Amino acid sequence: MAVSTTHGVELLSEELATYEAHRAELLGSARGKWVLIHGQAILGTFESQRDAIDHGYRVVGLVPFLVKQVVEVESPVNFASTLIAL
Amino acid sequence: MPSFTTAVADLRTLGPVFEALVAVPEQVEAVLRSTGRRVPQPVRVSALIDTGASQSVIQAGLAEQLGLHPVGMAAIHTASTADVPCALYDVRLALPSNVVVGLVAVETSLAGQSIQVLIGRDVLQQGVLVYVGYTGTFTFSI
Repeated sequence: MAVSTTHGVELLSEELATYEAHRAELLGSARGKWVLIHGQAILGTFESQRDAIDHGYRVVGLVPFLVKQVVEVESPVNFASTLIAL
Repeated sequence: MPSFTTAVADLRTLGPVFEALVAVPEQVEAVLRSTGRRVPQPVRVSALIDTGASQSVIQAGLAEQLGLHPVGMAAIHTASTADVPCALYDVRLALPSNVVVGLVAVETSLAGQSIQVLIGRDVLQQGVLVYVGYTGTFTFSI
């Protein structure tokens, strides 16, 4: 049985919309940092991805939240491997 | 620096593969224990060190098996696709010889049934990989 790979992204749809809505201001105030978003709330910006994730566990607990680096141009994750079945 | 060495019967064909355990991260385990909830058992997987992967990967379904929630999203590019959104999960990986690493992995489908985790350059950049083709062994130190 095929396992969905889109479910996790769907769980973050509200957070991704929040990021897009605040992207310009975040680029102005926290370029290069990592932003933590839960729902429509921006919970802070951090120097590292690890710091942002750990803060997420502390503040919102074991629920989906978005940690994303604030950058002008998004860098994709690249795979040369043919093992990725997309 | 902790390390492990693995011999692979056909290293050229199979690549640097080894058995590992995927577990919830320490922080998640601490929250679960402090609230009296069950900590999911680690899942035994076959992992492949893949220098062609810029980030590590877990097979789709592993995160759900461990009760994990996504912590991010990345657009991934492969030889045949571009900008496919995939969720990121914070996981702990126990490698042979008690080498433990924490990582944020992309969740996506891996072809076939034999490999459930790709160890990408996000992990490799923290260590040293020695591939000895003529002895069919590799050593990873991190």
